Amino acid sequence: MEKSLTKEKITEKVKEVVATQLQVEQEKIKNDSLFVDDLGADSLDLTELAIAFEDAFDLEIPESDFGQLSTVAGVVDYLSERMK
Amino acid sequence: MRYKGKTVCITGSSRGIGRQLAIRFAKEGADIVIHYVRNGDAAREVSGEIERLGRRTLLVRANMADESRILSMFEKIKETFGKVDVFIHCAASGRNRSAVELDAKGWNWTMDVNTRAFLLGVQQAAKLMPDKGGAVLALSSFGSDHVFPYYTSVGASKAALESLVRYFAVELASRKINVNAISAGMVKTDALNHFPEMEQTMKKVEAKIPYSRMVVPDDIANLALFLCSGEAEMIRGQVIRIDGGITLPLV
Ligand SMILES: NC(=O)c1ccc[n+]([C@@H]2O[C@H](COP(=O)([O-])OP(=O)(O)OC[C@H]3O[C@@H](n4cnc5c(N)ncnc54)[C@H](OP(=O)(O)O)[C@@H]3O)[C@@H](O)[C@H]2O)c1
Repeated sequence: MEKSLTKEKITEKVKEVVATQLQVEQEKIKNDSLFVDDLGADSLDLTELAIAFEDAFDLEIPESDFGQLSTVAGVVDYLSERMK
Repeated sequence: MRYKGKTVCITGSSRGIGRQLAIRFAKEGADIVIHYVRNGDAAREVSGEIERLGRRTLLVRANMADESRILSMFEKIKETFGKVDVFIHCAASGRNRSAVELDAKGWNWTMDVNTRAFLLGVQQAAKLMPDKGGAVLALSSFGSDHVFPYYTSVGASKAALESLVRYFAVELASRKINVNAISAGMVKTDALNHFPEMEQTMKKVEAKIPYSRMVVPDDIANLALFLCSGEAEMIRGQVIRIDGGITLPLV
């Protein structure tokens, strides 16, 4: 697990993953963008997004946790907490 | 113990049918590669159960839609066990939509996880199989040649899977690798939770099945243990139904 990432780095990486996975321009992704309502994710996108976050940050995000995360900021907070 | 000293890799063995296959093969003496993608806790529980039986396990997380992860799974197997005797592709996913509503993205995802992963997996597994041979098994379903509501993408992926089974069976026969598929009827697992109107469909299936009960994971395990053994040597490239006769009555 990568433990040394700053919050800025995590945010950048999360946005990169979201941009690739949901095929949206990175500039259009705000910290409070909602994956489903703002960025158009459907249930399959969310599954792929979860797997992509797990791959990128080398940790497991249980469904029970991921279900609570609906925005970039939410994911960043969650990941920084997990990587402390 | 029919599988003592054998290494058996079962994709999608964190839950459902794959989990039961893992436990049953372990009870027959096999060391097991347990594979999952999202449910690490469930997979670790299966691993614990198998290690308590005195068998070795390797736990691998890999998205079956991702070629590089499939390749690295086999790298890990090679490092840990140095060989694979049996490869079973049980992991499956799908976009549960009607044919007229199925999108390209859902189609690709389903084909990648259910079918392409089998293609790539068998290619890698065959390289790790000993000179004296091995076995490959694909988990298919009655939705591959019959119509099941909202099953379009999975049904088509399973039809292609069954076709691949025949091609591999012929190509790998000279290396004593036996390749078959099990076509299962409806089995109560988490997979069913994702289908619309499942309660009604389940009732219809229960009413139509000629035999008095539904198929359970142990039924699949019984057949899998046979098909991957030397006893099934002359059964090659076949799709064997295990469905309580549900696919037989016309009315
Ligand atoms: N249930 C039925 O009625 C039925 C009928 C006929 C045939 N089958 C076939 O039998 C097999 C097992 O079915 P099941 O009902 O036991 O399934 P299940 O309970 O839904 O379990 C699916 C398994 O596949 C894994 N998986 C899903 N998507 C994956 C992906 N993208 N990458 C890697 N692994 C992935 C899951 O891992 P995680 O736990 O980590 O998510 C889990 O281990 C499937 O091939 C299915 O098509 C089932």
